[in-house]
Amino acid sequence: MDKKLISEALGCIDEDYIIEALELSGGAYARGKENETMNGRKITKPARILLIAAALAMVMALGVGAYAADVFGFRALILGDPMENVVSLTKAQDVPETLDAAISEKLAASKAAWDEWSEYKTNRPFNMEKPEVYEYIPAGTYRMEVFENSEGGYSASYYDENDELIEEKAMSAEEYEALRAFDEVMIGNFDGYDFNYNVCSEEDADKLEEIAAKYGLVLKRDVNIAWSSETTGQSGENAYTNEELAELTSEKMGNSGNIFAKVPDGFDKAYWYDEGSFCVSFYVTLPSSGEQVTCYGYNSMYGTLYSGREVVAEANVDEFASREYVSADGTVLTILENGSEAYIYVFLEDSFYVQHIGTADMTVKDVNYIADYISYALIGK
Amino acid sequence: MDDRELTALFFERSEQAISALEASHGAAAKALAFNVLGDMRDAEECLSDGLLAVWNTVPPTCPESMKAYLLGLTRNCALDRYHLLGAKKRCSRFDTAMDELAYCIADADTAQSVCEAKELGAAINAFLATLAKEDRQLFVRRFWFGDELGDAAKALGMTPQRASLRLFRTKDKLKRFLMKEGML
Repeated sequence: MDKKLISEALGCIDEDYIIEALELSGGAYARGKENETMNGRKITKPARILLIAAALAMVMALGVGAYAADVFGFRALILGDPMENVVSLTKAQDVPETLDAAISEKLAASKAAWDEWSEYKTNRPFNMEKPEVYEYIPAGTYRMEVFENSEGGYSASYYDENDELIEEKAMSAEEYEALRAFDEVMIGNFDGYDFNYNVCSEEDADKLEEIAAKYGLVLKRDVNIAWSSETTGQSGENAYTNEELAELTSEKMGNSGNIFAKVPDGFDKAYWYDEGSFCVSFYVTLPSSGEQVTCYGYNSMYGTLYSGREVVAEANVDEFASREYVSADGTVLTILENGSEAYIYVFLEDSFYVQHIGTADMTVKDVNYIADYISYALIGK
Repeated sequence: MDDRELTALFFERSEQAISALEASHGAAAKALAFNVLGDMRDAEECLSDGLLAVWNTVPPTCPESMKAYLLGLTRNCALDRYHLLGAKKRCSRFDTAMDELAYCIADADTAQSVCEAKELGAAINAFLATLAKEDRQLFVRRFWFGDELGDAAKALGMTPQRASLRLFRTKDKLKRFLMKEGML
């Protein structure tokens, strides 16, 4: 009996059992109730002295060189009330006072602009009619697929929850175009604006541009994606070998050279925007165990409009120890680690780079080894 | 916003429906997808797919719980991606949980599966009905949500050791149940 079968079988369990499990507190499933038990009893947070003891124990476990002295630590990443354990990988949440005030100003402008944009979106009426093709959905439909058929027309296929075809229906080019336009609006990437902005119309686009201009910010548009042919088996225009993909960080992502000091074992993907923000998701084998971990690095430009919620992760902050590390290219990094996950971040001149590593048993040397994969000084235009 | 209001927004085809659903339950769905895939960007994309799937199916579907419905659709999107990505990508919490369950209920004398997912799902449903509520919640949190044992234990207000022991007993019961049903 393989895992695929078991995972599919579990997908068939009654919704009532899912609802029942959701009654429990804990994690993001019950946001805001993380500190309550199922009986409603509060779990008291450990006293400060215990936290220090735990941090010291963690430092001891992690080895010589780690210390919990950097009080700034997670402040750069945590979204804050009510998401005290949610980390943003796409925008610095706070800036040390020692840094240039211009960085804080740009991040504050981004926050104010996002608040204004959110308020506008909340009050915006929806004025696009649902295409007729959506009016027809056979009973029991779980998903619909549309594809171009051999005659150059289009077909809509309706599947049930077991992925059995219920019905296939021809679709005209006009219907297809209406469907595509509607989906573009619903997904919110009208006219190439990054889908996180949720731009649905010309009016939205004008308003977003107006807000960005008011706060002196630029916008993310037209994401470019590249895949590793070696890792994913994909071929074609956007597929590259691991070495070529590493090289792309120089040529395509606006950096002053290949940011990879070493070619990773593989890539999940890389994507970038013309204004300089980019993501590199890659795999590295840990020297201590031979286990492979995923490293997800994101570079966000200070002068770009971000919500900070584009890519987030959960982290039990109290479990992490913080330390500084000087990378192979001489950049001073902040590293937060708990023995199985780590975050690396650095405030650069024009952008904030943060990288998540996980999840596997990791030593301090493992984390340093991964930190040295990136040439941070080359990031940015 | 409660489920009734959320469902009403979808039935009205209001644009606020998706953003309201995301605001209410997006974090939970994303956390679930992250458990399955171990990759935040992928989790984001699965959440988007899940939200769109809700939009495409409500109406006519009128879910009892919008949260459970979104989580179910997002989980399916995440599982599709999980199976597509192949072994090299599999290093998530969910993978660990599935390894644990597969090891426990491995076929007694053959590597071949003797049943289909739907049959097995029905049997697991029947088995879950026999469990005490707390054991069932622990099982679902561990194997449906892909929660780490410590998180599932915390949610139930018990120690990880106690949760581990209870889960061990539940898995053992499941194995015996499936053998009795002729599935192992």
